[in-house]
Amino acid sequence: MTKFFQLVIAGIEMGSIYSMVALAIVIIYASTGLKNLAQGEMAMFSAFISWQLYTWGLGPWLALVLAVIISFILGMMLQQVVLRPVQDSSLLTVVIVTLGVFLGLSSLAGFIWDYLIKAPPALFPEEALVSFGSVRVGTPAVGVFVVLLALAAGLFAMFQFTKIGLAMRAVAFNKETAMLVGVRVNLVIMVGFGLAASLGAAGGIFAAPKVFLEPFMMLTILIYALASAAFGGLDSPLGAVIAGLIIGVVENLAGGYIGFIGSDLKIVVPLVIIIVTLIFRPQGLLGRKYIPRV
Amino acid sequence: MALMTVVRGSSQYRMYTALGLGLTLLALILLPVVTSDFLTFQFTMAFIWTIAVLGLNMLTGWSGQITLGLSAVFGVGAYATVILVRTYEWNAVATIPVAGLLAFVFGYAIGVPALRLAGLYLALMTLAIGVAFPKFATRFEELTGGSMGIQIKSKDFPKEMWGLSRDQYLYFLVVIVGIVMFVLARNLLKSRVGRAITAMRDNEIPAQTMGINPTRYKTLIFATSSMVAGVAGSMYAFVIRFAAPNSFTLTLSITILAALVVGGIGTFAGAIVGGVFIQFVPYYAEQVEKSLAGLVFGVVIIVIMLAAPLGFMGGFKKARARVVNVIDPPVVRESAS
Amino acid sequence: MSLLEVKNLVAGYGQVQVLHGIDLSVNEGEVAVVLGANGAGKTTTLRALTGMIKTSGSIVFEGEELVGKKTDEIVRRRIAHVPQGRGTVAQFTVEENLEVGAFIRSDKAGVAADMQKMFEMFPRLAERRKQTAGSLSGGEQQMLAIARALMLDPRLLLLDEPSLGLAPLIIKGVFETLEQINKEFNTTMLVVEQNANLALSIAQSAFLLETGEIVASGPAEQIKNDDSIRKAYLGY
Repeated sequence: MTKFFQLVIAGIEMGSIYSMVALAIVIIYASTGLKNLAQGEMAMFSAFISWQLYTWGLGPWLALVLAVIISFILGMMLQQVVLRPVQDSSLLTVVIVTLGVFLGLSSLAGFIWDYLIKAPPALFPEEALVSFGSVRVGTPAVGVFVVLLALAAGLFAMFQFTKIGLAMRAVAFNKETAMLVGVRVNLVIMVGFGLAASLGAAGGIFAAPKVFLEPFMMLTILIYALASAAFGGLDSPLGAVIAGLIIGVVENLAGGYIGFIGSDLKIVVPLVIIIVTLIFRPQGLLGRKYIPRV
Repeated sequence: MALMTVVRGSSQYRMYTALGLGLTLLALILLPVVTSDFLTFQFTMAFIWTIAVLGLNMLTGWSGQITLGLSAVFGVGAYATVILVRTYEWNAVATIPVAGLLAFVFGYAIGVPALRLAGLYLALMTLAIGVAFPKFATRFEELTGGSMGIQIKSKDFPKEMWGLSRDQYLYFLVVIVGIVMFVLARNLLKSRVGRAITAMRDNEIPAQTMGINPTRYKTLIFATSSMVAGVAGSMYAFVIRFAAPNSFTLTLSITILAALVVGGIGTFAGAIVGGVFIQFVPYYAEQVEKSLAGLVFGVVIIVIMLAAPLGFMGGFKKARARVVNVIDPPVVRESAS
Repeated sequence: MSLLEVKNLVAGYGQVQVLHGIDLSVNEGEVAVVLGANGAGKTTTLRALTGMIKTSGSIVFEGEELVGKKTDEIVRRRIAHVPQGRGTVAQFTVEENLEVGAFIRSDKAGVAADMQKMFEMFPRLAERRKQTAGSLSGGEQQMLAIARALMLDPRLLLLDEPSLGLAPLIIKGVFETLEQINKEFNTTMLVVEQNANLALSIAQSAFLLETGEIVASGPAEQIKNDDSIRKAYLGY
């Protein structure tokens, strides 16, 4: 049983990271209909920024906060410069642009920080927070999970109780009506993108100590995050959070108990989940929007 | 104002087209003769990418679908050739159709579930496949040699044949295969299937009411484009004689997409331009700085989509239009009598 | 007193020009209608007025030129637009729809008071205040859309075919409500409609739009009673 619980805890830890990046994807999708395939690379870039700040002498948590803020600003700029000009073009065009960002950020990170693996600072002390018999609940696991819950709660509060939250939801649901009540739609979309960028940044920075900081670190996490977003429902932030945790736990259990999968092929899990979700229940667990089908 | 006007399909038009094709062919044949072996090798690689772009164009240019799984089918073709030659001692050329067939089947298998979904969801699924492929290749070590990859012994490819050096005869092989693929693609486009696909790209519902079953055609095109990419992968195996999981990552898919975009989505000639672009730019960019190539591609993709979505061929056609005005033949109405 | 003065308005979509230079005017406190068949350019007119499409010409509202201004700037000048097909946010509750209607207002007390007023005027909405707008009937959604627009405390209310897709009895109720709103709150309205008869009954002035041009205009009573105009343009 120890193994089971240990795997579940590890799953919650990774799952929290998937949820954070999935939240970023969902927020952008909900407000603009764009699936931001470059989200992973943006998160990777933010993780590097955080690491850089750390090497310049800032404490790990200060570096994190500062990197998140910088990512917010960079995210807004990216939307204005690259995405806004094509937002009325065909879907193909927008996706291709997203892929250009993907490739560009990936190479830029390699260019600035080279491809050698870096050691990111530990954000949580490594000791076990608590032990139930032989089951060790590490502090990082609890820490990341708590941060996720705080972020989710904060987002919920923002969406339900603030004016900007109301505006963002209005833009996501009915752009025309939002315009006609005086919402500055372009501004809202820009802010939404910045918000997503900072959520992704948090995910990337927490992921760095676990998957090693190098320019390709977020490639697989992106797949997990996309699977979480799809499984949870592409327009449901709550769905993204729940799905991320579920996928994190399932992949760890599958890796631990199914020999064929081992630790190399764990990516099969999100792959299968994506396929099954999109075929049998395209709106995911909690999603609402109409999904175009052939 | 245009200097002259040519009617599409007229004998004058056909003459100019034949002239253009003939000159191109001549240039292709003469190339290895007048350049060094190394440059010939570079162009061979460029044409391999051209074939891959051709495959991607079928899907993205003709049907407007996005796929990021090209690296996977390319890898399937490459591994097929390498494994068959190395482990089962097949004749190399005989592996080409097998590679194509395997890639076709693989593409069909992906296509059946994936194409029931629209645009973005297809991208999502093919993205996952593109990322997963190297991992699968690593896992099935006995077959693929794991992360170290497998190699074809160079003795299987004689250093000289028919008076041509290895770089030269491989070049011609790729060119011939490329021409075959071009002809295949062109005929497919002009066939019923091709016309159905392009009709659907613009508006699927009217196409459906005309009796076209979208899913079947889309799956067919998806499989065919995979086949072409698989053949390109096989050619890759011929020239590089080595296949490893890291050669077929998502980055490759995006790079081929960049080539398509640069050359001009939807055009045949653009495939050549794109292939040359992605072969030569990294070569020069990497001499400046190792990761510069990816950055250049990324920026180029963005800039082109923002400023010149029709790519090189789009610009070329505009420039050509200033000199030659190509018009469609006037519709002659038969008078009722 | 002329609240809205439109001169030589040209507007369209991309290459296609829909309005070829129309003149309109609406006086304060009155209900003006723009009548026309499908494709005449009615929706385009309203979209041009709220800056949703490219326009040239002159739109003067309360002495200010609106051509060239963005939608949110125009809405901030208290012009409310109820678009075709309900114009509510289906996923929001009734209450949230009203809340978002008052988005640009900062007077919390006034907004709360107005929301109360809306619930009094539309008791059916009050019953369903926590339900999502998408679950309401067609007529209720239309009422909600109008209430949403009124939450702006508008100086001018634009309505695009309020009768569209509604059963005749419901349409009657909608127009009665519009008349009531005009009389009680002195709200100036510009209504574009296909349903000429009902629209003319609540209007003071009317304009006839045909393929992007105003072909007739005048007091509603006059248009209503002019047989030749009615037969030629209104089909009855």
